[in-house]
Amino acid sequence: MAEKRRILIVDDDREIVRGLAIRLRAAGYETLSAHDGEEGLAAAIAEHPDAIVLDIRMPRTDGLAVLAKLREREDTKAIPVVVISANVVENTRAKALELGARYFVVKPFQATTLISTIESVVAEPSAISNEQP
Amino acid sequence: MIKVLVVDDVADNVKLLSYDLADQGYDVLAAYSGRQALEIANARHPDVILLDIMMPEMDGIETCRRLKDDPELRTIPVIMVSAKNQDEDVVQGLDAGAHDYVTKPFDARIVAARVRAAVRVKQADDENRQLLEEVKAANAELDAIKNLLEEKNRCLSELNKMAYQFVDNVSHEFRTPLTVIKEFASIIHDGLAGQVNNEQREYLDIVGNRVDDLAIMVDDMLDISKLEAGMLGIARRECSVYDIIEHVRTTLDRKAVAGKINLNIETGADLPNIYCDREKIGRVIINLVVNALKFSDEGGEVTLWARRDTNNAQVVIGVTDNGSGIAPENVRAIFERFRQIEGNARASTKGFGLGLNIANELVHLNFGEINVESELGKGSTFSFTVPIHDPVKLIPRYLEHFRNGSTHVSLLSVSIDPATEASLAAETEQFIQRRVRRGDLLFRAAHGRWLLVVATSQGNPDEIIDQLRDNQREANRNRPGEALPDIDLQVVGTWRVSDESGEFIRQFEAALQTAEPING
Repeated sequence: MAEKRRILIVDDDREIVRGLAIRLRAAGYETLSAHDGEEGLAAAIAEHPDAIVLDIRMPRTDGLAVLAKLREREDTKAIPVVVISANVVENTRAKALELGARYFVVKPFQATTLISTIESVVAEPSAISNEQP
Repeated sequence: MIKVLVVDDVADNVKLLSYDLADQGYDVLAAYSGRQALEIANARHPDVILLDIMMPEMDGIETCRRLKDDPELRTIPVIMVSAKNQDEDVVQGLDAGAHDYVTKPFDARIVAARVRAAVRVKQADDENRQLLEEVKAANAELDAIKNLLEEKNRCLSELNKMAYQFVDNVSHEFRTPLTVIKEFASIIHDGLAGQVNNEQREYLDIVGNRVDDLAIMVDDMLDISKLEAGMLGIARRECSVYDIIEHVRTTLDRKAVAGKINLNIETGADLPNIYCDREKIGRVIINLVVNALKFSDEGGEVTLWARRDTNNAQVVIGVTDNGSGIAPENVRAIFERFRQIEGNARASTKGFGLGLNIANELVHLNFGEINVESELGKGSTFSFTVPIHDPVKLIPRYLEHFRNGSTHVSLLSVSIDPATEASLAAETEQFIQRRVRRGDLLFRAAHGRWLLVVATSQGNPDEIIDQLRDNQREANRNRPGEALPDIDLQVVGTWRVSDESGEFIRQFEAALQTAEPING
C-alpha cells in the first residue's frame, strides 16, 4: 500500500485543527499539527509535508510571514499551501496569493470544498495558483 | 444731525462760518488751534472738518497729516480753508490727505455745498467700509465653516476607518467560532463520529444552515463598513453567468432544502459573458435568493433566472418568488439599511436588513441597476442588470456611473513581452487587477496587452503608475517562482469627464482596434 500523504495543519484555534484533522484522516491523509507560525515553520522544515493548511492571524509569527519564510528555503518553497482565513480583507488575500499560497479559502468553509481543494494541490503540486477553487 | 468741526485761530472766522453752517442745519463744533482740533475730533468724531491752513504752533497741513495718521480719525473728510494766492499750501494740504478746499473770503453757499459734498462722500465711504467689513466677516465665517467642514470630513473618514477596523475584527472573531460549529456539525452529519439517523442529520442541516445565515450577515456588515470607509476593492473582469451561479448554487440549494422551498434555476442557453466582479455579483445573487427564501412559505417556489437584454448590452438576473409580496408604499424603503417592513410577522427573526441595501450598492459598483416588482399576496421579483463584456458599449456606462469625486480619466496602454507564456500573462493580469481601484477599468485587449482606464481628480495618473511599479518590485521580491514580466505602461491621454468624454471614447476605441490580434 502506498504511503499516506501528510498534511500539516497550522492554526492557533485548536478546535479548528482538531476538526480538520478528523476530516483529513477520514479522507485518507496523515495529519500533523501546529498552533502558531513558529511551530508551523519548524514542523514544515522538519517534516516536509505534502501540503500545508495555514491560518493567517496567529500569535508570534503570522501566516503571511510563514509563507514568506517557506518561500525563502529551497527545501520548503515547493510545498503547496492552502490558506484558510477569517480575514476577508482583499489586501490579505492578494498578499497571501502573491506570497505563493495556492488557494485562499475563507472561514467558515464548506468541509467538502476544503478537502477537494487539498486533494487538488496534493495531486498536482506544481499547478498554477488560482484565486477561487 | 451732521457735526462740522470748524478750526481757525481767528475767533471771528470761526464765528462767521458757524453762523452760516448753523443756518444750513449743521451742528457746529469749534476749535482754535491744531492741537485743540485733534482733541475735539477724538472726543466728538465730527462728520466733516473745516481746517484753516495758516495757524501758529501747528498749522493746518500738519494737523491734517496727524488726523490722517490716526486710524480712528482718518476717515473724516477734511476741507482746507485758505486765503487767495495760497495755491502751494492747497496742494500740500490735498497731498496730506485733505478732501477739498475753500478760499477766503467765504461764499457761504459754496462752503455749505462743499460740506454737503464731503458729507455725501463720507456717507458713501462709511457704507462702503461697512459693506467691506461685512464681506470680510462673511468671508471669515465661510473660511471658518470650510475649515470646520474639512475637519469634520477628516473626522468622519477617520471614524469610518475605525468602524471598518472594528467590524473587520468583529468579523474575524465571529468567523472563527462559526468555522468550528460548522466543522463539527458536518463531522457528525457525515457520520465521522458514529452512525447518525435521518432525523439527526436533518437537525444538523438546520444548524449548518443557520451558521451560513450568520456568515452572510457578517459579510454584509463588513461590506457596508468597507464601502463607507472607501475600502471596498472591486475586481471586474469577463465572467460567465453560468460559473457565477454554479459557484453559489450549493449554498442556495442547501438553504432552500432547509426551508422546504423549491428553488428552480432557469438560465437561457445563450447568455453572453458579463463584465463584473464575480464574487460581488455572487453575493448579490445570494442576498436576493436568501431574501426570497426568507419571505416564502414552506412549499413555496423561488426561481433564480437570467436572460440577455441584447438591446441594452446587458444581462438581467432575477429572483422571483410566490411569497408574501411587498406593498407599493414600502417598495422604496426595502433598499434602506436596517429596514424591515413593519407589520411583517416574521421580521423579528430575519436579520439586520442589510442584505438588500448591500445588494443595491454592489450592483451599482458593477454598473448595473436593481429593480423590484411586487404584489401583496402574490410574490415579488427582484432583478438586476449587469453589462455584457463589450468594452466599447461599456465605456458610456462607466461614464454614467462616474461619481467618485474624480474629474478626469486617463487611458493607459499596458503591455508585457508578447512571448510571455499564457499562465504568467494570466498572473500578471491578476496582479494588475488587484491594484485597480473602484473607479478604474481593466480590459484585456490581446495576449499580453491591456487597456487600463483610471479616474483621477487632478488629471495626473503618475501616482497610480508609480504605485503599480513599486508594487511590482515588491511582488517580484516575494514571489516564489518566476518573476512577473516587465510591465510597460504608456499614457495614451487624459481627458476631462465633463466635456472631453467624446474624445476619450474615440481614443479608447482606436486603442482597442490597434490592440486586437490580426489573426483573431
